[in-house]
Amino acid sequence: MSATADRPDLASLRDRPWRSLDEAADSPEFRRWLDAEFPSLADLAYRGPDRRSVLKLMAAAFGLSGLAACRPEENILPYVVQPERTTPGLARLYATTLASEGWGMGVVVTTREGRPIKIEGNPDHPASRGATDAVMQAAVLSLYDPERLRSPRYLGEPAAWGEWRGAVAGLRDRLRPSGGAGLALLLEPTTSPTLNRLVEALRGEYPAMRVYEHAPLGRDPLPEAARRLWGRPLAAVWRLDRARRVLTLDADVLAEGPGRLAYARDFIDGRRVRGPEDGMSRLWAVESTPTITGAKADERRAVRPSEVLPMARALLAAVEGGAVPDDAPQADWLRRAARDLLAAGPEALAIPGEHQPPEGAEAALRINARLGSLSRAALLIEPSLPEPAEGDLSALAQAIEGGKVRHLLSLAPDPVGTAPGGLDLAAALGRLETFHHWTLHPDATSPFAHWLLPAAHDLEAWGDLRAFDGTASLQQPMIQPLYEGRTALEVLAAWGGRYDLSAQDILRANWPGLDDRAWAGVLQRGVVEGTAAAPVEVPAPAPPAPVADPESPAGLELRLVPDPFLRDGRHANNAWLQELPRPLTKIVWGNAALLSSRTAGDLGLANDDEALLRLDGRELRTRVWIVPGHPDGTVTLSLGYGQGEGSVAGMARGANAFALRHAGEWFATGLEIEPAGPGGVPVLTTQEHGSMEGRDIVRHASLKEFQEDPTSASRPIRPSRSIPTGTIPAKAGGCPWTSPPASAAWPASPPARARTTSPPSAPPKWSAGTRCTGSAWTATTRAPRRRPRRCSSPSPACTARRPPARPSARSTPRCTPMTGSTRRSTTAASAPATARRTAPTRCGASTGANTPTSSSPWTRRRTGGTPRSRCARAG
Amino acid sequence: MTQVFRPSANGIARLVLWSLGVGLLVLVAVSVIYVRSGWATGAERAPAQPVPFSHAHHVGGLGLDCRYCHTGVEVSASAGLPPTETCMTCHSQLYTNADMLAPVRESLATGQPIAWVRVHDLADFVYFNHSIHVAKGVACETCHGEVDAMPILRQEAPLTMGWCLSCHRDPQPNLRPPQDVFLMHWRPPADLARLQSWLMEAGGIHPEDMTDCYVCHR
Repeated sequence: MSATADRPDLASLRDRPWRSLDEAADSPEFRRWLDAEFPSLADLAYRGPDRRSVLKLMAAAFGLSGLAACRPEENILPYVVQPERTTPGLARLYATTLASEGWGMGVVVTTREGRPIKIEGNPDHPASRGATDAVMQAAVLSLYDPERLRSPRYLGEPAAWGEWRGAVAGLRDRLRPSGGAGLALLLEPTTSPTLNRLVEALRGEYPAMRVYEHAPLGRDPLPEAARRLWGRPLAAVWRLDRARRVLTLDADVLAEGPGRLAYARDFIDGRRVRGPEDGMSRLWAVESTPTITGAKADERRAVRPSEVLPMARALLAAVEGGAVPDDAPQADWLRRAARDLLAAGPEALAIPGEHQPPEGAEAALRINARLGSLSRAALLIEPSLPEPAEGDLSALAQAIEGGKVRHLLSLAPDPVGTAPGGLDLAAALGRLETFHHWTLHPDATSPFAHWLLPAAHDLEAWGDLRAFDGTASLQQPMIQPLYEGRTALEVLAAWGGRYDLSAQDILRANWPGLDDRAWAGVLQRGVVEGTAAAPVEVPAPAPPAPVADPESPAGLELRLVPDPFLRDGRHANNAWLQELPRPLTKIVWGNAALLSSRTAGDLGLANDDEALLRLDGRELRTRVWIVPGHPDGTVTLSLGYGQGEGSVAGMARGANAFALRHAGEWFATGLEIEPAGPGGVPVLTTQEHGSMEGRDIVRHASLKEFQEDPTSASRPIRPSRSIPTGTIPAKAGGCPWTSPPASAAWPASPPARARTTSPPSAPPKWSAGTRCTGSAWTATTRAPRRRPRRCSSPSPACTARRPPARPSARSTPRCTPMTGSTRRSTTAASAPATARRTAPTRCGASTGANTPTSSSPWTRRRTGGTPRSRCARAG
Repeated sequence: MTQVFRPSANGIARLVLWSLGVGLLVLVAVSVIYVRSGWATGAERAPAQPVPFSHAHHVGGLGLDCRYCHTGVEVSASAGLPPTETCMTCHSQLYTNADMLAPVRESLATGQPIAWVRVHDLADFVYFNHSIHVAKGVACETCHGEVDAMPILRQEAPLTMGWCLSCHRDPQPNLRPPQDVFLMHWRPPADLARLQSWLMEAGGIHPEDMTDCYVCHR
């Protein structure tokens, strides 16, 4: 669609919501596209029936009706040994933790007959608070991915774990005399206390061992900034619930980072307006690419990524009593922002961007210190991530080239696929004597690995992780490993010579303070109480040394972002996440170079065009997509596409943005774009699906307007958009529709959708006076969220009183049936008035439920082979 | 020129026309009767099982409660079939060498479940829930019949949608006090009608929305 060529008057668009530039322009082309919602099906749906197709359909119906009589015999397969407290047909809920780039996100998993089927947030977990994001929801699909690595492989051939242990034992004997010289570990930074302790233990055993880290999505620069200010690394917890004024400096605080769910909850709680007396926090956002946070901001400025740091420094100058230099970007805006922040004092908060250099975080910390919010809205805590290790991928590649590393164990996600384009890691890996790679899926690194080790999925694993505020929580398996996956804990323990330890043993040994009872309590609740990090008091930082802002670079800038769902590509084989529209762009199954309308015009690019991106001699071909609100002179490209292996990942169309990276940087200057003609495959987007078409489904008003007229949101209003008239254009080679769809027969159908065949001049069928049932209004009140009921103590069996419920009512008592029977129901005989609910039970740990001989009930396994225990081994 | 048809052709034509009409009627009648018969609904069907388990012996003879084996019936959508272990609680001591129990012993030994043949086979788009029916006072016997007299389990009811709806429209005659739902050959008390109307009220049974589509089809 090319309606973006006639640029709409953007100022006039601020008054009404719109979803895409095409919709905003409301071009005739867009209207035609919209009215023919399924153009490819139009022929099929509206062509009159002819004799042949009627006969065909009749014959098919007759033939298929005969099939209805055929009932295949169905089997019922009960358990052989039914696990204790398991009732086929009843869901059970367990608390566990999912890893989000090394950080813990607490979840409650619904399992049926030992199979996890649904993931929801854990209300007791500080990083979840009962919420999940798309990646967490989709973890249940990744678990059942049939393309996961199914067994260890040695030189590409299936092998057994025992053989691997033998190989490790042999290597240990060779390496021990030299203290592990030549041995290296490659890790993704993780908050897991047990895993980090195992790494330390391994260092103790092999003093000469090197530990490298690979974080494709980077580390938060804030600890480094804190080290510069106070001499030690500190992490930050933003208390958006305490902040009345928030300013983000290229920080997508609502959608990125380990605290995103909690921050989003706090943020929106501070802005929920129920009545005219309620206030709202104010969000000022500076950002270099359109984000969710920017979309929620009251005041937003889109700038080039290199301009964020000068803006942060200018703001710091203003907050410290100076003046915003006139040559600073957005100087007027910054002055207003500084005034607003200063007025709020300790209740104001500046949040630095996770993709900006540490200098940006340093400026933001100074602003917070000056405002007095460091002990109130911005809390500093001891960091949960360990100190950065010896080096990153390029240091590893150098060490391999230099012969210092000959044996490598990689626990990091796909180092080859996510290596920056400026690094030839594959060549380096080829020089290794032994390379062990632990991974969930076969990936781009797999061909280089001598030993390929299948990982256990988070839902199959024992483990522990810390949340953004330091709270530790445990992972417990929901199901025995479907394939032969092992956890990173077990792999590391084997390298340490403990081949017999299960992940559960390792984990319990690392939590000696938890006796059996406390352990069960922690598993049931999902978090280890009292492990949240205490805020650290810091002195006021020394005044900054004056720095000259670097000359603002000219030329196009490249801004890299992680894909919101695929992240660095580790979820690329998850179809749910591919299918999910990306925020703001609504692009699915691929990525595109995002740029502003003006930049695209300057470069002579239009939507769906191919372009060749060139940066420091690295090249990438990608498609182009115009995004309103994108800063000029900048191109945004998301990581995560183009390198995934697997049938689902292979269906996506995207460019591997890692190829443009030099090292771990998130933005770079000097990008060149060369139009490469119209693209073959268009960018898939759902942007215009479900257009509101003039109906006020969403209404918006400023706080002031709402306070003056609180009823404005609930008043029905007639659609604002005029009603389209005219005929639907004929498809090439097809027939124009000769009869209208029966829209007139559906009074509730949106009037703007009413298609008529009357000539354009004739009055539309729907006219003023017709009651518009299609116009919706926003619900202004919402029922309070009900927390699921749960027993407080692990015993006895949950006897939560259930309300005398109608069949449609839901109650979900969650309990720990540690003792007693599973018959949690009150006796039916004595309570005829109590409806029996199929209440899922949330369980701590199902002790002794490991029954390798039991097979699944109710369904016949499709895959054949030996039966596998389907119960959650947890005890 | 000779006639193409002889005079007898008239009779044949009449016969053909009549039999066409009659044949059509018969076809309609047969189809209408067939879909309601046990041939189509499966009522009275008693498929062979891997182990010829006799409800007549275990329930009628020994007096086992339904819930001894069908443990989920009060809390879960599915009543549940007993795990092999449950069979072996007795049969590790009794009839330990009986040929007909060989599949049970084999199941325990190999860990492969016994593949029972489903007798009551509802369409996959029907979400039947045992627990709610039992809780409201619909007895096992009401739908499953006198299983204590079935040497091989038989499908008693047609399990058609019409059959389901007949009770969902008017459940009252099929109710009994929930403590009696597992009894066989229940003898109703004298004031049955009053009891049932009380059960309707106490159980919160609302026939007016029990025929909504979503109740069974979700």
